[in-house]
Amino acid sequence: MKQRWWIGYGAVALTVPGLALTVPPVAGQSALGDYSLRVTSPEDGPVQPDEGLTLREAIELANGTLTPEQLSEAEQAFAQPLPTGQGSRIGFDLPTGQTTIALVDLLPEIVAPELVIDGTTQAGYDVSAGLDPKFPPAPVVSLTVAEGSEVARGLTIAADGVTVRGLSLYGFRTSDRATQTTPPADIFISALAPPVDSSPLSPALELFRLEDAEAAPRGVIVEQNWLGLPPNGEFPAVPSAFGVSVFNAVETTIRNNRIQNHDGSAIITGFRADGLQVSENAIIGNGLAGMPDAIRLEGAIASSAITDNLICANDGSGIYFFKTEGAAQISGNAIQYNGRRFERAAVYLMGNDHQLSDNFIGYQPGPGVAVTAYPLSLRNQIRGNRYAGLDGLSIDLNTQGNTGVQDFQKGDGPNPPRNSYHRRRETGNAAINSPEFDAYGFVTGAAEVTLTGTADPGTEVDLYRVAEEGFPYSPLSEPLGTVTASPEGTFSASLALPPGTRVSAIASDPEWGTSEPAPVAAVQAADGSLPELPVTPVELPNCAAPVPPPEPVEPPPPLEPLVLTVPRNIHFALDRSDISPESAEILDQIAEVMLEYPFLTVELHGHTDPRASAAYNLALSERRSLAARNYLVRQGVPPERMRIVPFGETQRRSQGSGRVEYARDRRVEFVFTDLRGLEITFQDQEADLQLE
Amino acid sequence: MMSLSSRSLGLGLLTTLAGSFGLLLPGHAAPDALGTAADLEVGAGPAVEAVVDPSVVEAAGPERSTVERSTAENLTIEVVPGEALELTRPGPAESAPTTSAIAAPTWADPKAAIAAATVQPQGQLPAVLEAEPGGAVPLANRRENAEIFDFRFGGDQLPLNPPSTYPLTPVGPGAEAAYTLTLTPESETQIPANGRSTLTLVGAVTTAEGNPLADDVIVTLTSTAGEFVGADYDADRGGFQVLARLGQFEAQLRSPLDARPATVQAFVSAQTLRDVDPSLARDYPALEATTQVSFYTDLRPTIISGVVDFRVGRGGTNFLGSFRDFLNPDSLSDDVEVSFTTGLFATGAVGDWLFTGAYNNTRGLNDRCDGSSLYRDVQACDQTYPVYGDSSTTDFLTPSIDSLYLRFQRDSLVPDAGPDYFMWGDYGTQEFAGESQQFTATVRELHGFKGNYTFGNGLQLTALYADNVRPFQRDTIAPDGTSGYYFLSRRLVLRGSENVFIETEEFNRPGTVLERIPLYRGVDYTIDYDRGTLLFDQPVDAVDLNPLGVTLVRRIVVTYQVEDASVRGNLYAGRLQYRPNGDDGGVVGATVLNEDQGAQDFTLYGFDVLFPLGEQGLIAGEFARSTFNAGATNNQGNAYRIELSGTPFDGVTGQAFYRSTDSGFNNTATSTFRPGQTRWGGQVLAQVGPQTRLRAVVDQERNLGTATAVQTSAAGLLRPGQNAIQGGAVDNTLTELRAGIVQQFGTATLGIDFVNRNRDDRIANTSTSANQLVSRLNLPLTETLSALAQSELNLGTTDPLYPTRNTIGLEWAVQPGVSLRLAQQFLSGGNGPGSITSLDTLVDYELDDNTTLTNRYSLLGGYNGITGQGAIGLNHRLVLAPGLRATFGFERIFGDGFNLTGAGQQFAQPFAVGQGGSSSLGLLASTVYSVGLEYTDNPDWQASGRFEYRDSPGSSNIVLGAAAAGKLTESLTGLARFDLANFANQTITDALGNSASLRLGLAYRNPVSDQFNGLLSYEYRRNPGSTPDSILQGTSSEAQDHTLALEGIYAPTYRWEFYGKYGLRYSTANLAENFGFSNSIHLVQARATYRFAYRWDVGAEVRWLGQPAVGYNETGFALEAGYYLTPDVRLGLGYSFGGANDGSFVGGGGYRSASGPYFGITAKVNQLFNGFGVQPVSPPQQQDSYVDEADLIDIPAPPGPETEVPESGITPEVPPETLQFEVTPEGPQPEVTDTAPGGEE
Repeated sequence: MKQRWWIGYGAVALTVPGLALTVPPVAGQSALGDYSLRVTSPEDGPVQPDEGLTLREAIELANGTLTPEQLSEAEQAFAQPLPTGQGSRIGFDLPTGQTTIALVDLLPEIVAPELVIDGTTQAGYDVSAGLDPKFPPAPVVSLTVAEGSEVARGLTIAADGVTVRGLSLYGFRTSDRATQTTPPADIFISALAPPVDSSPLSPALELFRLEDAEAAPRGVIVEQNWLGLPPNGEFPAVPSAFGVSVFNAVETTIRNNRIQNHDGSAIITGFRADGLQVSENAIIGNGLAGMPDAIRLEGAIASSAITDNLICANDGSGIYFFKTEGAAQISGNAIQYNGRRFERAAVYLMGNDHQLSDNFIGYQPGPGVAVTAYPLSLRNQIRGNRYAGLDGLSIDLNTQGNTGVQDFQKGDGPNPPRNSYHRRRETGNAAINSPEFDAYGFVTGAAEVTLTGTADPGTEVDLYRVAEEGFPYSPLSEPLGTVTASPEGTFSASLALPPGTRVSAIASDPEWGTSEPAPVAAVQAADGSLPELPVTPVELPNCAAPVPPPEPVEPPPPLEPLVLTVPRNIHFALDRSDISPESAEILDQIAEVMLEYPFLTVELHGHTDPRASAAYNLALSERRSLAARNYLVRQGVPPERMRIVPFGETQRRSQGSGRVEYARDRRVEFVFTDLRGLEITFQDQEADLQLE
Repeated sequence: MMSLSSRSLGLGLLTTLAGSFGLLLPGHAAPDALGTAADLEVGAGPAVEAVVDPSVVEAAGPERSTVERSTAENLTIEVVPGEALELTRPGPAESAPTTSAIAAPTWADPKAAIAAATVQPQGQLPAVLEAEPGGAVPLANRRENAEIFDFRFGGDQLPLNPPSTYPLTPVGPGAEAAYTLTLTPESETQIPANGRSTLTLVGAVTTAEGNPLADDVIVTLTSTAGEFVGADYDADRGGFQVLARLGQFEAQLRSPLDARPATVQAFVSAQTLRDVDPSLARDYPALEATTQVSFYTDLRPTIISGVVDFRVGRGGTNFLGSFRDFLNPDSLSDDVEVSFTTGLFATGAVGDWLFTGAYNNTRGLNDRCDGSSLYRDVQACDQTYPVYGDSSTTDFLTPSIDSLYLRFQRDSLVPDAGPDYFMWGDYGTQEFAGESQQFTATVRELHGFKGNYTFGNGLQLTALYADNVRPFQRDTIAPDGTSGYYFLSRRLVLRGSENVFIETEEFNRPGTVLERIPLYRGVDYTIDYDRGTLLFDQPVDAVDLNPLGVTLVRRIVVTYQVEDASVRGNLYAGRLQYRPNGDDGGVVGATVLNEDQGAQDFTLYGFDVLFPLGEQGLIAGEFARSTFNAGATNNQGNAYRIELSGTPFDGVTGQAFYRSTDSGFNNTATSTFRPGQTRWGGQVLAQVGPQTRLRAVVDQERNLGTATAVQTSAAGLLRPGQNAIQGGAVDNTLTELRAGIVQQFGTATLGIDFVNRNRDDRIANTSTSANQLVSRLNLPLTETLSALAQSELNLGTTDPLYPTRNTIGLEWAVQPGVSLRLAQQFLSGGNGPGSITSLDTLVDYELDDNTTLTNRYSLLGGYNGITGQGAIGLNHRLVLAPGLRATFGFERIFGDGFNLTGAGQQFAQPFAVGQGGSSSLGLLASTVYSVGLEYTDNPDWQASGRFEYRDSPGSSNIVLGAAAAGKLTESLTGLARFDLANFANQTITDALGNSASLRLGLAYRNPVSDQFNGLLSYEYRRNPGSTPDSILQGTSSEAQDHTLALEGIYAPTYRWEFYGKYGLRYSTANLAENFGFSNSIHLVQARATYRFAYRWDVGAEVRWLGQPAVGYNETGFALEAGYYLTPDVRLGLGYSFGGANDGSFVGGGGYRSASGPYFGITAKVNQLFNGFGVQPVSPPQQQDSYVDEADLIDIPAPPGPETEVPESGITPEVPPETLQFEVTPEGPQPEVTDTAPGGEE
């Protein structure tokens, strides 16, 4: 209801002041008075003179659509004029325990340049709690949606230099509707925000000044916020749709935020986001029910950089480029455990001249980096990254003009060597050939082993050590060095590598980009044998926030098999995927164990009984797994340690066709893996069996 | 969505709504020559993330806007006035010669070929030979529907056949299994048939010790359904290639849209293997492995789409409706005319069943501008532009020749069984052509009801009813070595009703088909339904000369229905089939079919059985009985077949068979047999040493009944009717005894057979016995080159049908799966040709996966799949360079081969009709050269060309073809195709002028802006209407026509849209060299629409149609304002005016006009009135992105003491908006459980 009201209101608001803004934007800006504002009331509602200054009132004051005179004296006291030109500042002085601002409607679009909305000014904000820049201290002030209301956006920013700092924003979403035009988001940045819905009264497209790059807000900063989760860090009752939507803005900076639990992407760009800087954020567990990719880039993104972020446990790709213009730099990120729900590339590249370096890319049910074949994408340099735990190639260049659905999600696998110049015109990175070793095994010499192979002439061949099993392709674990291929297209490198080492390589050419990896070759001992290298225990990365450092030194965990009395399955009612109270108890036990033993990961295998169609049952089993996962997420189990695997009716628990047998079939099984390689014993249970 | 925003606000009610619907439907139903608005407006977005849900793509609904339709009708009209067409397109030859040859008018120029056919007295005896092991008799249907409805017929082969022709193969110990190939699904073996899901297959090549191969080999993968995704290691070869590194490989198979089991095969050619391990023997077999996967019915979310249009106005003023309705003299006087048009498409899950349906209340779902058809057509010539400007693919989900299509389908509860379904619409008869069937088999294209259900115990019941069945015709044509044009015996073929096969049988021994290859329209041939001509994409050789086997001849077999307005019949059929052990076991079936054609009745029923006997044996049997009544004719007869094969001892295999047909038995819808023939025999093969094999054969054939009467008159040849006219009686026996040995000498293989043939003719009362020594040699010269030789030497008496023949040849294995063979055969003594020379490009069709072939003919942002293949594809297989392929052929037959066989006298004839007629086809002396080239390497353009020349005494045929298509710029796509040929039927070649066509098309579509789109097409046709009837009429004619169409749409802003079209057809004809005329027709059309407010638009359209030669002028004008009640409902109020001045004698003459206001309501059926349609709002981003949102906010109730979860729960499991499978509980199948349905719910 409220939303509908807003449509009308918004349309008027957008058309009338929007028009005014379009014409004299400069004049309008200079005319604004600057204030230092203190928000003292968590209430929301129509602007009116009363006791405390609400955020809505503060924004309107900063915007100049409200003058202090229209408010009560008490409120005027919270608005101190500042020297013009430096921009207004909104601080918070909310009563203790009332730091949640629950909106009933969209806040006014922020048109005041250089406005700073600073949640760190609220008493109780503990700056020192930030141990890692990626995990800022918990905000005190949170901005969310009042119960029963539907608000599409938290903050809508349309002015240069606006800073949003130290807030928690969550719960901004809309229900599905037919003509939704712009994605709901915690923070929406655009020259003039298009309305949430199109309607007969929607202003014409030209009004949004999309073509006018100068009109786009410049230099907006979003920092140290928690987006998508309340200050207590729990899963919100109503998740937000998207995190930050950079619809039409340049040089936006998004840094040191924690962006979590969104139904859609954590960060999405729309028409223009040139100069976007995304750095040192923790982007975890997003894409739960919609656009699954953590960072989704579309439109103009020239000179963008995504650096030093933790992109973890999102449901799709870590970073997905779709028909972007301009080049981006992606470096220093940890992109791991994504693809929780969909098998996608960790990074999907579309466009030219992107630089992808020094990232860790791992634990993805898809390739590490995929480069699309169409639109033809060239000169993407993908070097110096480390890869682990992939289901696909470390780098996958789509070829043969492949444009099926799968090609845009998971790539198309290893390419044949280029057999004609025309392959360059239908292959990502212009079909640069992957290096190929002369043999699958090289006998080591006294001190060194000489690796030889072929690659495109003149390319730089980066040699990698490969740690994981897998043939012919395995993730590129660690760069070993670079050699240059001769003009004849051969390369040779002498390295001191212990026998048993397995190697691969990629070739890069400034003119074409980086290739797919070479099939793995192994270093053999002098007698031609292939010794097993001692397994170095891998420190598995996770998505957890850092814990306070001084911790009592625990004794090293015992290396004998664990025997846990933890159940490993839960059951469901006929045709249901909700968690019964009995199952909830069991899940609680599982959650407890998962939290206690951080080295455990679990696959959630959903199953159904054999009745109904295979298609229906597959979907039902997926819903069951999802329900169990989501329950565990809410119990605090890190999402990166869980993976959903629906089986439908293909793997029954029993053979019979009685009610009990069917009840046993309707289950989610928890297949635990101990990452340290220990054996564990788990127990089946039937306490929550639900008969028909 | 960009393209949506500037979509036209068409003046016509339908134009707007149906047009936007057209977004989903690439303008496939476009009229003959002119483009359509839908074509122009199909989203310009290139294929990126063009996640076209294939099942949505084609709803056989209201896909054409009214405006288009009106122009479509225009074109139909303009055909009529062209008098030339009156002459060249006469009605079907309807002579029904139930008595013997009618005295026909003398043939002005009787072809020498007929005279040359030496007519011999009936009743002398010729001879016979053998048949191939596992000779394939696949029965098939059309390929374009393969995605949805086509099942593989009977696994594509019959288990046994009369004794094999048994080509010489090397004898080896055969035991050295040095390498093995494995193939298994990685995890899942069944996935939903949604065109999207994939399953992973893994495999390995290992050595005898089980170690992985130490090298890389290329593995070829094929699948009977689905498509491999990923990078094809060698896109130029048939099938999907992967590189097995150290022997290991992995591939992903994507499901098709139709639920079915599929067999995936992996293959490593012997040649590839020998490259890896040169020590392998030359006869080391190719590695093969198969695995079974299945695709189950995808219960997809429901879609309903369509348009409903209501109009009321003055009579004859429906300017935006059909052209036929506007100014229709019959309705001009009506004050009020009300019309209601609706087109709907729906698909979705209904319980466990997948429902697909379409309905149009005014026309057939398959209708094109010029008539109805079975199935939608995919031929290039029937598509306006095979360039859509995007790479969308089209599937026809709802083919129906009438207004309704319905289908309910679900997976059978029985494992390995096909899906259960019930449908109304167009269908093939795949269930009636199982692997155990020949005499009872039926391969036809029909329309009506069909149902298939498999009971829990493995009993499968199929029933069908076909309505409106037209007369069914079977033609057999002797190919002449070129690709066409081949005339059928009848004109006006019912569109889509044909089935085309290439059959192979032994030279001079008709009656036993050794191979039957189905051909697919659009991919393998194009057909002109009006005059009944076939043009194949590759030359069809007359003879298959294998120096190591026996000489075979090819036949083109075409069955079809004839569009005859006066004859309509119906057909019922049912089949009950029982497979006790699923796919692995045998099958027992019973079939009954009844066809009622008014004056004709045909009934066929029978039983068939196929059972494995242990591991090594197989038994197959069949009994069939047919009755045929037509007027005085009353034929009935039985057919029997029993075949047995087995390996009783190690190294010994045996086969025995008996097959017999009464001369009254008839079934024209199956593979060829000779009524009245009985053949039985047996064969034993024994491996007596590591290098030695023995073979003994006994084979007897008896022919009874009558031979086909030799036709010499033009009428008799050109209008042969439905069944061949019967001539003299035959009663003869051929007994063949054969004993032979095959010995391996190193790499060379030598075979020597002693053959005794005994002929006994009881009519002429003669008897002959001849002995022959057959020696065959296969001598490998190099790794890839072999010398082949065969000598069939008569000892003493010469059997005229088995003269002394010496054959030598060279075979060159050019590349895996493709080889070239040059062979020369000399014949001395006896009848038939004196020598035969042939050069063939041999292709291993086993590896020819059509799906991967069609992928080759795609142009990103241009066209896709079968469209491209139809436009330029020739399927040439010999790879010269990446993307460059070729075929070469040469065939020389010296001397005619019209012999007197056991089945009667052969004679030159353009086509043989009916089941028995084909035995009278012979060989005509000729020399044929052919070369074809195809280029597909450049992603921006593709081209193909061919040249074939055939020279016979007195006549010649040149076939020329060239096609190119590509993107000239990012926005401009072009296509050109040229075809020229004479006619290839015996006795017709050169009797008519060449037919030629040239087509050019250009489409402008900017992928990033759709402000302007334009289409241009030009077509030139020469003698488009030549038919054999003009020979009969003794007239020669020369006709040409030119068709030009220009079309453009311009939308500068979202408010304005301008549309214009110009069409011209100019025809000339010369009759009898002294009388000629020409004719032209013009169409000009323009439209402007202006959207002046959010809900309002106004538009005007004007149209002029003129045919100056007859003084015909028609103008029409309409002005309309529209108001959108909702985005999906538009009210229109307008005024239309039109007048026609008809100066011709027909059509009433004079001037007529109509004008008046009208009112209309048009509604798009989709979310109408909040819930009328059921398309979900804001559908999940992709289907596989579906997530049960409620689960995310589900907070489970705190654990309580033994309380049940509340009924509706805190978590509605599936929120209504996203409910996908709402009515499909996992739940209870009554026969499975006794729990009450619904259980606790």
